[in-house]
Amino acid sequence: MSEEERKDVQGMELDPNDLDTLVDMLKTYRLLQNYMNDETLKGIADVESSMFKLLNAMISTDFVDVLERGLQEPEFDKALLEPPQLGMMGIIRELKDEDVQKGVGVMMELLKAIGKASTENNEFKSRH
Amino acid sequence: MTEKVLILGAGYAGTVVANKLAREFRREIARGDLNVTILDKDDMNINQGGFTFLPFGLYSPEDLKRPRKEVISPRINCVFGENGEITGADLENRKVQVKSGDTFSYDYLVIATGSTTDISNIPGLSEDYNTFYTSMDDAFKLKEKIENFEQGRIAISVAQMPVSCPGATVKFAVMLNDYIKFMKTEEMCKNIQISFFWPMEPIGPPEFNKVATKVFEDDNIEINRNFKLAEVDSKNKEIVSQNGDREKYDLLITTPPHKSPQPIIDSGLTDETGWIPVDKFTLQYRGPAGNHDEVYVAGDSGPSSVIKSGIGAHYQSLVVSHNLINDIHGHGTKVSYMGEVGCPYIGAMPTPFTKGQAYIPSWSYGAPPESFEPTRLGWYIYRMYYYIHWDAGLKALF
Repeated sequence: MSEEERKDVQGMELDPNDLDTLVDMLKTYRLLQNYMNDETLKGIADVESSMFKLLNAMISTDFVDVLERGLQEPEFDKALLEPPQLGMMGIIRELKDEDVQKGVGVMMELLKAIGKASTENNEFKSRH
Repeated sequence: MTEKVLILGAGYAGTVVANKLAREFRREIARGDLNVTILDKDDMNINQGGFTFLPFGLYSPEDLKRPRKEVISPRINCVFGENGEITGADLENRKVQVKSGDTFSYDYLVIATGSTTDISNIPGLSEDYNTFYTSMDDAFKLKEKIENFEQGRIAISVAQMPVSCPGATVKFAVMLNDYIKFMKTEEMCKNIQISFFWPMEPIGPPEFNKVATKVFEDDNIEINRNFKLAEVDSKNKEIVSQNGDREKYDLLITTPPHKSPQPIIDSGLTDETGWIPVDKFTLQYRGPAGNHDEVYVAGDSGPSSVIKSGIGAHYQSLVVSHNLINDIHGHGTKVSYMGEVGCPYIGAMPTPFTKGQAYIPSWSYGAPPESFEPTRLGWYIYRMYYYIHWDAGLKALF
């Protein structure tokens, strides 16, 4: 490529292929922009709002850290490879394990929290 | 012993600080080592920035309100109503009194009580008071007046500075012009003149002023600068400036004077400008009630020299939160608010004849806004913001 063909844009050297890509992106963006209006943007905003809620939930709790670690437990890996079949007696036996007891305790609190949040959520939504 | 953070005001700034602390200190709160309490006189969060759009049907009331508890983390102790309505703050003794008679003590205090309007400051204004600024009801009453307006001069007046979101009235004037062209007959449009009365010479920083001036000129909106509203003569339908200039109007739309909430003034926290002085970088209280490192101020409550806007409140809240987090961790590191602020500008609203155009110029203490032009994508981003405000801005995600 000759030096003459290269363009200097604010100190960044761009060759004609880069410029073609930029022009292509701009023209494609124009297509998207032309089909966007104040109604469609409301739909996009609703999707974003739900994503932000999930994002907030993820960054606001240690549960993600617990899950991150728990999902990498070798015993859990083994269980996924060869799922243990637990009958009623097996479950009762596992309940004597301290870690299982803690897991049940955490899940019980999660159930309570979900129940409480469901009631509150209905109250909030009725006031919108 | 449990450390106590007390936040006065559950508007934008107070909510952001609460949510940031709730996330950062979730373990301390769960263990009972830290308590974060937020007070407010009511339990509904209203996004006042959206009022500008209500007369034009661009948002509806349900877009602009949420129960405060819905947008504040359940880790925060929320006290609303009479128990949350502040009547006085004693920084010396670290006590805050509320209307019910209760008293709250604190180790750290965040004052985010915002500003309030003061119509009584302009004689005659209450007799012909039309505004989109103060409430959704007012915005809808104004909508009706605009719809019924057939001919004459619409005077849009920003009474005096500082006001919350000074750019809102500029945007309103541009949208009103487009709305009238859309809704009224060609004949009516010829007989309606919009006149804009601004209390200063420039409309914002130089680049903002440049764009605003051009758009007003292109739209044939008459600009009257340095018109500080002193009086409204509703009988003769005239507004009077502090210089004694008199201007006729047929419909007056006013952005009223703003002031600190009365309990904040009565507690001796404000300076001669009527606003709360702070260290402009750390946002710690530095005023007539003494220097208080444990007291932070965020949002519209702050000094008159800092522009009052939602974007400014956001950046201030992040700094206040970070400094509180550092204080509570006890390492004394301070981060600085650099004066980051922004003011959305609208070049046109969408009608059958115009595409929506907007931009959100930003600046800081030492760096005025760069040159800008309203764009269509800018309009979409700005419009979208009001929908995601509740889950992005208020939750302090970034």
